[in-house]
Amino acid sequence: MSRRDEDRAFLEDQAKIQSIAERARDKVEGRIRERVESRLSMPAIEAAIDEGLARREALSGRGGASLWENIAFLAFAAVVLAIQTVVLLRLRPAVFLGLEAGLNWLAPFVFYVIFRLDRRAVRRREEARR
Amino acid sequence: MGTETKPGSTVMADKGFEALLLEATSKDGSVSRAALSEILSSFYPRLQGYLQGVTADREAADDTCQETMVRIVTALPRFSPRPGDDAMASFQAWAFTIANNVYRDYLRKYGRVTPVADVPEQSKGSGQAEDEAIEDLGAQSLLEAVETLPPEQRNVFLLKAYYGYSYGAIARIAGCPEGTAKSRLHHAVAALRDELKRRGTL
Repeated sequence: MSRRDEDRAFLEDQAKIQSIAERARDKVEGRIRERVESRLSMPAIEAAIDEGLARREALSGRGGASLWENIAFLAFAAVVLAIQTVVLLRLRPAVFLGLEAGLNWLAPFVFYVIFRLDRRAVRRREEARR
Repeated sequence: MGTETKPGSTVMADKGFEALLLEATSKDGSVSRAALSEILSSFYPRLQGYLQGVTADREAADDTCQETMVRIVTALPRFSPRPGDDAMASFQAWAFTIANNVYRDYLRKYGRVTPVADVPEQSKGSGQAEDEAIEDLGAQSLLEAVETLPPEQRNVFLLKAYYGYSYGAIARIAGCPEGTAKSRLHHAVAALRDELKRRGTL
């Protein structure tokens, strides 16, 4: 058999496989569709919707800050800046810089505490929702 | 090899897929469960069928299909059809991409799936059932032969032969270069050809 004949035979078989594959697909999907139509698969679908919506809410639901949270944050930032300004005016620059450096060291610990508190709040909210 | 196929239902035909999609993806939080349920019910046979083919295992297919549907619901607000593409075809390709990712995660967690023979459906006990059985013999043979392929070849073969995707689309869904998809399909067809000849189906 020449190379060309071999190629032609391969393509013919490929076409046959294609048509069998379409029958196989219809057979498999038909069996599953019967389960969906007899509502046997509906609990799985409903459960997927519940779980998916819960995940969607958990992802978006940290939900950005509320208006009051934003106002509180701005007020807090204003107070901190005011304190810094007063301290800068009252202390010598070297002492002020030393104080700032010391406070910067504290920052990661403060962030860690906020992170833990936030996670606890989210978990509590999820448990309440369940 | 093959042309792209789409699932569908009567409600979907009446309302239109895009309208259902809009109801199911509203970003203001008011999600229509009915629309979500309609979309998932319509795509469930296709998704489950695809995953049964890819995993070659009913239990693995059930698990991965469930997780795929959950991820579809979660990510639906971020879905937008590819420009110029039909919304339903675009959605199906997107869902298959998610299914592929879920299957990859499943393999990472549980290792390679060992194919288990599907439990045969109960006989209908009539001559018609026998005729159907003989008619389906080729299809059944192919289903069994596909299970013997390596997972990567199986995946590409299913996407091409069952669903008629282009090589570009297969590459996007399976996460491999286009050339790799082509060579995987060629190897898969060659292996299936040998197997089906050995079984006397071709």
